[in-house]
Amino acid sequence: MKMAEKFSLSPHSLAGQINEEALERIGDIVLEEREGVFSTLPDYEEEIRSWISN
Amino acid sequence: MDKQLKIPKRILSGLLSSLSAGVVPRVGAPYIAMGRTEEISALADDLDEIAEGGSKTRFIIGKYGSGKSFLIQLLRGYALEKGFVCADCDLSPERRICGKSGTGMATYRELIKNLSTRTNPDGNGMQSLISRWLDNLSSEIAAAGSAPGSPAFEKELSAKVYGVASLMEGQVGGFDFANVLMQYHRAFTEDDDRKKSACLRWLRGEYTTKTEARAALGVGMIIDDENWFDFIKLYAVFVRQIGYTGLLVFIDECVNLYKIVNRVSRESNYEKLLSMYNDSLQGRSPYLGLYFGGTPAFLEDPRRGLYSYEALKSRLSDGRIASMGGYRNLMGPVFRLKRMSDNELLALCHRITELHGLYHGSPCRITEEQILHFLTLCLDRAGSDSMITPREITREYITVLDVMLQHPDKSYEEIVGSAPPDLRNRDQTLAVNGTPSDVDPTLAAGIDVKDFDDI
Repeated sequence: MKMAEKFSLSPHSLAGQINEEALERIGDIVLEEREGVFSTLPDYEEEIRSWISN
Repeated sequence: MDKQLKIPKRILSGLLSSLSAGVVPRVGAPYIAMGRTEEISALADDLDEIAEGGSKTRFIIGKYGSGKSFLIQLLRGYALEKGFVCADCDLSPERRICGKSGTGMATYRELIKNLSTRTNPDGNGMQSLISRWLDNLSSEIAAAGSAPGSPAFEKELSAKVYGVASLMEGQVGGFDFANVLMQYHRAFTEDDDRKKSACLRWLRGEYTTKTEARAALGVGMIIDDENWFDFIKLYAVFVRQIGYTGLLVFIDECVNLYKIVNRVSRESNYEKLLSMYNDSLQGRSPYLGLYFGGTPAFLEDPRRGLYSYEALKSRLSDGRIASMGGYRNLMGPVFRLKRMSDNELLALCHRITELHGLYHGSPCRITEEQILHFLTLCLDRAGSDSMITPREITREYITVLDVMLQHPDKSYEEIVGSAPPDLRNRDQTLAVNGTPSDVDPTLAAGIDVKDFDDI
């Protein structure tokens, strides 16, 4: 939420942009929304970590 | 295997668990797509037509387990990649095209719940779709020099939203649809979560009375059993206006309409289906594709199938030329799925072997000879030429691989049976050394979504 505010985006837009990038990099989405809460998919935590650290 | 497959982990695990349960995977279908190149090519052409403002309705017909739902999911995945918004649902006794006690609305709600985009492939995409649209508009206006939050910015944003909403005002339900969009935009700007939620409830068809909708949003119309398809048509126009290619609606398990015992109720459903079909063919539903999946009985049964309804029969039955000459017409509204060839089934087994090995982190112990033995066993069963389905073969094959993995001390022969079927008895082109002899190499390697364009 805070991150979305920082970029003046809605959380859905930010999640969409992150997922788009993830689709390009690993071929799948990495964030999913359940009842208004966004969370990372556990299958890709390693990829996300290395993505952020790079 | 020719090249090492690379499949994202979630997709791989989803694929294997769906296949072993005999369920069609919602993601990853291209990784196990074998054959059906003619159908895929025809469906890919549909998407081009819809993207240009056309509309399409297709009935995908095949018996249980023949691959209808698979083809639907394959097309859905491809369409998402091409920028379409997709909505899919299975019919059931509680979900029909129309009916008393809200069975039609249950279908609409399920479709909207499963609204997917490329970045929301598992559904729940509506809020994301609208929010991203409003954010994109805001970014455009900001980039043109207006300061976010300034009166000029808000005025410009409202004008742009109204520009899209007003395009829908002339259509059935369009005025209220546009009104709700404008209200969502205001709530979005004012950060009014309650109003946003009310708008989404209305768009999802969750208001059951007009009084309730009027109190929450001041609109005099609700989405109901009678008009829900008008709103699907509005969605198609709307998603196009906000930057998507179009809308595809997939309605599977249509055999549930054939199963409706009450004649009047069944015919009401067919009547509604006819009006959807007519709208599609008469250009009244631009940017919309409708795909129905059902069994041969659903289509052809003269007492309870679509053919029992004369207006549909005359539109959907094969023409005289096609039926007399035995020609397959993939340009018509009905796709009849043929049984997959033995070589396509063999290619599928190879692919599953590869996926199973990838998922479990070690290559399967099964040899090429044994794969062929397994398939021959399945195909040699009485009646298999017409009765065997990819679903049955896939499930059984994964079971064999699972058992072999869990019991490393047991040989394939001990698990499956030692009596080798006489391979020479089959008048087929299955290659003994594993590579399907008459299968296109791209087929044996599976079809990647990106390969659709080359078909």
